Amino acid sequence: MKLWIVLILIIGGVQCDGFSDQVFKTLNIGEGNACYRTFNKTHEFGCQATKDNENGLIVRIDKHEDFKNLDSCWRSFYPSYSRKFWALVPVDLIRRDSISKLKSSECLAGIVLYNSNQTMHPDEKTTAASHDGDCPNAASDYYFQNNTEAYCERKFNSRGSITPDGLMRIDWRVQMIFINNSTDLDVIKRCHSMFNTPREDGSTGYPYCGMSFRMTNMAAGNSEICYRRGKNDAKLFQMNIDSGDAPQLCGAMHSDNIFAFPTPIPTTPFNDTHHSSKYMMVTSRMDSFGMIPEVSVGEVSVLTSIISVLAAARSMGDNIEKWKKASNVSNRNVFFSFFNGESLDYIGSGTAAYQMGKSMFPQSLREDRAHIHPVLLEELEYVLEVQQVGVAEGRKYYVHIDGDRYDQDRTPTDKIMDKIERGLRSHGFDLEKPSGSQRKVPPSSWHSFAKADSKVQAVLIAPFKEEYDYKRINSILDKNQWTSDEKEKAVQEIEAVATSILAASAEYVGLETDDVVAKVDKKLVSTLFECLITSNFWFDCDFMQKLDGGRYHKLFDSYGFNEKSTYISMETHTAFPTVLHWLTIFALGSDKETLNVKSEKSCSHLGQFQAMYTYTWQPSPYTGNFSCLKSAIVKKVMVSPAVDPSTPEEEMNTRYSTWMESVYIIENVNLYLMEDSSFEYTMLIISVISALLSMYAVSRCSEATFIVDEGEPAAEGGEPL
Amino acid sequence: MDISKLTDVKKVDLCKKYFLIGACFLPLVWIVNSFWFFSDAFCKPVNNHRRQIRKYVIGSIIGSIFWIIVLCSWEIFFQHYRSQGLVWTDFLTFVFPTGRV
Repeated sequence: MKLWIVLILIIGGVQCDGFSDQVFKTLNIGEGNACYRTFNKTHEFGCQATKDNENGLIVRIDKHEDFKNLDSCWRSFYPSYSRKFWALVPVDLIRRDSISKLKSSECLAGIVLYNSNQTMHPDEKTTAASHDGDCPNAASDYYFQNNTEAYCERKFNSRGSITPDGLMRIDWRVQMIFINNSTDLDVIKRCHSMFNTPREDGSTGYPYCGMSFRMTNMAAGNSEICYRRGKNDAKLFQMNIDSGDAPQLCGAMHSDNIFAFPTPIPTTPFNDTHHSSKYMMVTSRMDSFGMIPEVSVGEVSVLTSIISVLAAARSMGDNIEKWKKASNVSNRNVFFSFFNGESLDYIGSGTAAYQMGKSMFPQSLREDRAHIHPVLLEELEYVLEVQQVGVAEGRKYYVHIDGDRYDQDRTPTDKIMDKIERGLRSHGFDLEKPSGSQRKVPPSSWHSFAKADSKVQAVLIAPFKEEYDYKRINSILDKNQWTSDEKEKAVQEIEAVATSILAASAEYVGLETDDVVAKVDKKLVSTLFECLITSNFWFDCDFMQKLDGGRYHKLFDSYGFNEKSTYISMETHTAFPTVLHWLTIFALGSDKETLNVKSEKSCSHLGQFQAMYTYTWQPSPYTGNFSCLKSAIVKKVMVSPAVDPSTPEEEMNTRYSTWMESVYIIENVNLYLMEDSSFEYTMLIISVISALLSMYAVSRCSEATFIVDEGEPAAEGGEPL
Repeated sequence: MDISKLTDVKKVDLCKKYFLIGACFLPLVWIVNSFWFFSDAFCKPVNNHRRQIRKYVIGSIIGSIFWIIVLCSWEIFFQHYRSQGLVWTDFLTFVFPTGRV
C-alpha cells in the first residue's frame, strides 16, 4: 500500500510540470533569432547563456536618453530590485554611442532587439550602423598576407562601423534575441506595461514582469579547438554510446555558391589539362551578416549588386549565339560566380581559388568519363566584381584595380575600363578611373585569387573611392527605406552597372558592343528590385511566385528559411541560394533544344551523365508555364579548405576562412511574474513546514491506517476472501 | 574487519600486505593502511611487532604523501593547461565541458 502512495506522489510530482503554462507565458524563438557563438581560428564571438544572464526584469530603452537608466541600473525605478534586466531595444538604437554601454553594463542579462516601426529619419541614414568592422576581412586581405601592407591599413568602413572590430566580433557577456513577430513583441511590451511601468506617483512594486531565456552553445574557444574536438581521434577515450562517433560541437560555415557558364567549357579527356581558354569571372557576393548573424537582409551589401549581374546575365542569355561565336573565335570566355561567405574571410572565393589550383573547378575530374576542362588559376585573367550598387552619392562610380598587376600589361585593362565608362555614361553616370591610393583593391573576392595566382587582374566597380559611403554594410539595418526618387535612381544605377558589365565582357571576348549586346532589360531590373528588395519575402511578388511554381517549401523553423536573410550559416537553412539559383537558370537557361520535353521526369533524364549541362524543370516567371531549361549552371556547396575534413593538408590554414559556428540548443522565452525575494523565502519556509508536517503525519500511520477493505488483513493472513 | 581482535603477528602480516599492495601504484591502499594501523604504530606501547607495524605505516604515510603531492601537482598542471584547449590535454580529457574550453 505504501508503494502505491509513493507512486501516486511521484506521478503527482511529474504532473506538476503541467502547471508551467499557468506560471509562464512561453514565446517560441526559432533558430537563428538569437545570438549564438561563432569562431575564427583564434577567438570566440557571440553569446552564451550562464546562470547570471538567464533571468531578468524587463525594461525598455525606447530612445537614446533611456541609456542613462542603464548606467544607473534603473535603481530609481526599481529600488528594491537588485538583480539583472532584459532590455527591449529597437535595432536602430544600436549605435556607436550606445554600444559601449550595452557591452559593459553589469546589470544586463540580455537584450531583446526588434525592428522599430518609426520611419527612418533622413539623418539616420547617415548614422554609422554597419555591424562590420573598420576593415572588412582585414585578416584575409591579399596585401596584408603578402606583407605589402599592415593589418587594417585601409579603413574602408570606418565611417559606417559601429565598433572598429565589428559587432559580430564581440564576445558578449549578455544574451541577445531578435523578435520579428509583432504578436510576441506585443506580449512582452504588454507584460512590461502592466507590471514594470512606474505608476503615476513614480513608484513601482512587486510583482514585476520577468523574462528568462537560455541559449546553450556546445563549443567554445576557437574554431581550431572545436574542430579538433569534433574528430574521432581527439580523445584517448572516445566513447559515444549513440553513434560511436564524436558528437558535433561546431560546424564550418558553408552554403551553396552558384557558377554560371553562358558559353560552354570545352570537354576534354581525362588527364588532358592543356590550357584551352582564358576567362573573365563576373562576380558578386551572396552573403551578409548582422549583430545576430542571421538577421540581415543585405539590401545594399548584396542584393542590388546581384540584380545588376543577373540583368547582365539575362541580356547575355538573350543573345547567347553572338557571345558563343565571339568566345569561340577569341578563345576567351565570361562566366558568372555568386560567391557565398565572402563577408567572412572569403569562404566561397577562397574555396574556388583552391579548387582551381587543384584542377577541381567547377567539377572534380572523373576517370570514367570525359569531363569539362577545368578552369585553372592561370587561365583566369580577370575578376570583375560589382559592389554596393544603388547608393552612389551623385552619379559617380569608381573602378578599382591592382596597380602592380595593371602596370604589367595596361592595354587590355584600359580597354575594359573604357568600356565600363561608356556603359555607365550611356545611363548618365561618370566613372573615375584609378589613381594613387585606388591602385590597391578594396575588400573583394579578387583577394582570394590574388593570393593563389600572381597574374589575375581585378576590376572592381563600386560607388566608393577610399571609404564606403554607405554606412550599413553587413547590418541588421541594411535595408533602405527607399523613396520613389531613390528607388528610381537605384534602378538606374543597377541598369548602368549591368550595361557596363556587358560592355566589359564584350570587350574581353572580342564582341562588338552594340545596342543589342549591351541592352539591359530595365523592366526586369525594376521587377527584381521590387521582388528582392521591396517585398517582405522572396516569394511575395507575382514574378517570384510564378518562378517558384510551388517548388519552395519552408521546411525548417529557422530565421534564414522563413525570413529574408542573406547569412551563410552552417546548415544551409536559408532560402536565398535557391532563389538565386532559380533566377540564374531563368537568366541563362534555354528551352530551344528541349521544346519536345513535356514532363519533369524526362527533363531530369536528359541531365544524366552530362558533364556540362543541367536540365531543370522550371516555370517561366512571366507565364508560370513549366519547361525544361538547359543551362550550364553549377550550384555547389563550398567548404573552406581550412575547415574541410577532406582537405586535411590545409587544416586551419589562415590563407582560407576559418569561420565556424557552434552547435547550440535554443530554448523558448518565458515570461513570468517576479515576486520579492522575501516572498520566496516565506514560501520556502511554508513548504518546509508542510513537508515536515506531512512526514510527521505519515510516520504516525501504520499499514492499517490505509487499509480500507476489512477483508484485506485476513487475506494477507492466508484466508480466502 | 575488526583488527582489534587480531593478534600482533597477524596485524604485522596484514599491515605488510597492505603496504606491498599499495606499492603497486595503489596509493589509496597506503592511505587506508596509514589510518588503519596508526594507533597500533604510534599510540600503543612499543614491542617488536609494533615496531614493524610502525615501519610499514611510516612507509605508507610517506608513500601516500608522495602520491598526494604527485596527483595534486598533476591536477593543477593538467587543469591549467586543459583550460587552454591544448591538443595533448584534449587527448587526455574524458568529457569535454559544454560551452567552455
